[in-house]
Amino acid sequence: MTGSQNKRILVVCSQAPNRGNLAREALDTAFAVAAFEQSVCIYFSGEGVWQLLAAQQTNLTTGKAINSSWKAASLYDIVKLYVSAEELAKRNINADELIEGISVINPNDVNDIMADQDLVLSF
Amino acid sequence: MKISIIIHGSPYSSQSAISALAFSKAAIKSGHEIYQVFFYHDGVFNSTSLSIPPQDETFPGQLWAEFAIQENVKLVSCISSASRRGIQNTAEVKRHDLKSANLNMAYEIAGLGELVEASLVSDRTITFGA
Repeated sequence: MTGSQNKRILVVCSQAPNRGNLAREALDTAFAVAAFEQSVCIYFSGEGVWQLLAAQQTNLTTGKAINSSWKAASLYDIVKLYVSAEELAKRNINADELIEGISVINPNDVNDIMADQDLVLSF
Repeated sequence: MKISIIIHGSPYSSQSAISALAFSKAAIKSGHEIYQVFFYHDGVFNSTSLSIPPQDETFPGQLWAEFAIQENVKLVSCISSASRRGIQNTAEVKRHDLKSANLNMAYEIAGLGELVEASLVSDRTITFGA
């Protein structure tokens, strides 16, 4: 490792929770990058917003629903988890149906957040 | 410019590996450096040594291996993605008491720390999605 270098990294999650294993592996990457003391935030876009629904049951593929794993993000000092209001509205999802700790933002905020990063990792 | 590449796509279900290779060749031709290629998710299937496609078909995993040797580029298959999908090197075979290894010799297996390190030292990190 190159030591103390700290970068701002955005992980973009656009996969539906049970469409293969990519949602899970995106989460693994986010937590691993955060464990290397980088400033990580997460943006849920497109079908990725379904990952945030509170009412998910155990996943037959991975054994656990991904929403419960995202709830552990704060343990890795990941406290900025964003979802766009527009993406939720398109899918008729209310913010109160999501797990706690998610910031609902508008499309302009998304541009600002992306512009503010050193690195964007897309999944 | 120093560039690192991430590949998420399986060789025969996705254009990911081939697009990334075309990009990397063009980048080097334009005077840039490819620092590391990180195979993640289904991208690790590119690193098996057991694929034998028909001779007149494209062989993404081998094309990457040839490119890496020629240009001295590091190819890394993510250990967690690879383990799930049955891509093992000799160390993992020993550790888990398996019968045989199947990692292509041009690749190495390493953790996500390699991706973080590469991203930190690279000017750009580009993902070729699944």
